This record gives sequence, structure tokens and C-alpha cells, in this order.
Amino acid sequence: MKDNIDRLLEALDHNEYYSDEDIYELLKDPDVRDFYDNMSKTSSLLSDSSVRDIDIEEQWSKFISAHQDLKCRRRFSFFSRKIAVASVVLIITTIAIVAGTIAMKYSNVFSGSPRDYKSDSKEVIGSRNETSVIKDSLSEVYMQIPEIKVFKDESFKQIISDVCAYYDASAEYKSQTTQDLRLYFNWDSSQSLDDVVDQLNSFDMIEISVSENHLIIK
Amino acid sequence: MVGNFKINVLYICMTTINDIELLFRKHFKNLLIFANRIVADEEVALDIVHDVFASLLTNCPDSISSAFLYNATRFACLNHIRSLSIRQRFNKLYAIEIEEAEEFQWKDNDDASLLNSIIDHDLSEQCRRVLRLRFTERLTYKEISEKLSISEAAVYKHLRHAINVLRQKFNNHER
Repeated sequence: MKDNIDRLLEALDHNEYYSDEDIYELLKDPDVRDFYDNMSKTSSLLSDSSVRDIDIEEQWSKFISAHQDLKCRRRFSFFSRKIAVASVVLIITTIAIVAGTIAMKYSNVFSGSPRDYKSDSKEVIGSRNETSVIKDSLSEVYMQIPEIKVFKDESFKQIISDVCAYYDASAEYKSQTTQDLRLYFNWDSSQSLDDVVDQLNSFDMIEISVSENHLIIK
Repeated sequence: MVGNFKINVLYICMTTINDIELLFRKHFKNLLIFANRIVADEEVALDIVHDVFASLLTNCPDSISSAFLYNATRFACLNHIRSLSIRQRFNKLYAIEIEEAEEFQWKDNDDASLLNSIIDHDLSEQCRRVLRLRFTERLTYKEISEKLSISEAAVYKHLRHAINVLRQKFNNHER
């Protein structure tokens, strides 16, 4: 005599004998449901062995060949960053050459006619100031260029320690588990502490609040 | 202006192919095991985990944590289950209602060790064979009965006994 669990076992391999309604009815029986859930758990856990010996090299090769076009696009964007850096260097060099040319021009005037010495010397002083203004503005440009620090699989504690040292902030941990997290995180040091904290808060397991340069990590 | 220009360009794509390769080599296998525990189908799990890494190439997230990868994999697995009919979910022993699948706590490595220990120590040789042929090799009852030269009714009996032992031992352990 078949009971509901026998019917459940049969339904799993002989679908043709059971309608969707029959299956719903079977699963309404608490014993059947419990048996089904335990089979589900067993199936889930015993499936591990089929994937434990997977060859990562082979999978990576498959991934790369399947996404060759995206990889090229990615490389292009990588190179576009290089181009951007080169552009910055080129612009800075051009400004430096222009500044140099201006300085040379006034330097020639200075060494030209003795009778214009006073007025020329004023201009030279003026041009010196101008050059120093240009230099200062270039320094500012360098200062503005953000330093991106890439943390690869770094401990959260270390990231917070670096961030706090940079912004002269302090940190207080409310739990140990957060400290042990490991993250991939790109930190742009040109951003404010609040912006960096906002970015870190976008991680599911992280919750940081800031109060007067003091980080409270929950 | 020059500084700002560089800032913008740098933010276009912070995750390079090298970052993805690093993540792939570090997390692929564990993500595959995780996905396979949800979908119990190696081919489907492989496709899902490959798609998760492919999405990194197209979406260029600024930063990636392992939690991000696991969540993305979990959502992709749930979407796969959602796309199946009730009958297909039943055949794969998934939760029938998607809400149940969303709430289901997927088992960890400790559960897998406990299960294997129970199988090795508390089941008869024949029960163990039936269980592994069914859930690891994914054979039908008919194929198991032919392989072990027993009736299908005997396969049911061994399977039922094995699941009952596992259920009892698991429940005792959880208490």
C-alpha cells in the first residue's frame, strides 16, 4: 500500500502520472513536505562533489575567449586612461614651454639696451612673478590630480587605518566581524572623508557613521 | 580643469581585466559550489557564475567585495528558479514558491561535512550507493535499479530510509 511519501518519490521520476494539482496536494501533507525539504537539502549538499574538481585555468580560458570583445573594450578604456595621463603631461609641458619662452623673451630684453634697464628690470620682475604664478598653478594642478589607491583583497581594518591617517580621523569599532572583512576598493584621496565613507557604506556588511572626523563602525 | 579631466577619465572604468582575473581565480570555485547548492545543476551553475563575472566587464563597478559576488550569484540563481515552471522546480527539488527559495538558508561547508559523515557512518552500503547515485550522479530510479540489479521499489525503500536517517541525525545535531 503506497503512502504519500511513496507517491512523492514516484512523482519525482514519473511525472506523467501526476498533475501539478496532484503535486501541490502531496506537498500540503506536512510529512511529505518535510521529506521533500530534506531531499532538497541532501541534493543541494551532495551536488558539491561534482564541481569541487573544476579546473580554474580551463574556466578562465573559456571566459576570456567568450568575452574577447568586452576584453578589448576594457583594454581600450585602460588605454584611454593612459592617454588621459599622457594628455595631462603634454598640457603641463606646453604650459612650461610657454612660460619658459616668456621668461627667455624678458631675459633677452634685459640683456639688450642698458638705457631701458630700470623699466625692463621691472618687467623682468613682473615676468618672474608671472612665472611663479604659472608654477603655482601647475602645483595646484598636480595637487588636484587624485591619487587612487587600489586595495585588492585588503582587510577592512587596514583600509580604515589608511583612510583615517590621511584625513586625520579616528575610528571606533563596534564589532569584530567588520574588522575581519576583506575588500576590493578603489580609494580616491581627492574625495572628502564623507564621500569615501558613503562609498564604503555601499558594501552590504558595512555601516559607518561620521561625527567630527570620528568614524563609528557598526 | 586639467585635474578634473583626469578625475573623470579615471572613473570611467576602475575594474580592469586584471582585477577581474584576480577575482575569478580567487572566488570562481567557491561561487560555483555556492550556485550549485542552489540550483543543483553543474551546467546551470557554471553558466550563472560565468555571467556574474561577465557582468563585471560590462558594468564596471568601482569596487567589488566578495559579498557583492555572492549576492549577484544568489540573485542570478533565484532568477533561474523563477524562470522555471512548477513542474521543473519540483523535478529539481527546488522550493516550489519563489518566496520560499528567497528565504531558504543555503547550507554551508559544515553542513556538507556533517551530511557526508552521517552517510559514511550511519547508512548501510546499499543505502549509501543509492543515495549517491541519485543525488551525486543524478541517475533515475530505473538507472539505479539496473546498475545495482535491484527493483525500483527497493530503490524507493533505500532512498526513503536514507532520507529519514539524515533528517533524524540533522535534527538531533541542530538541537
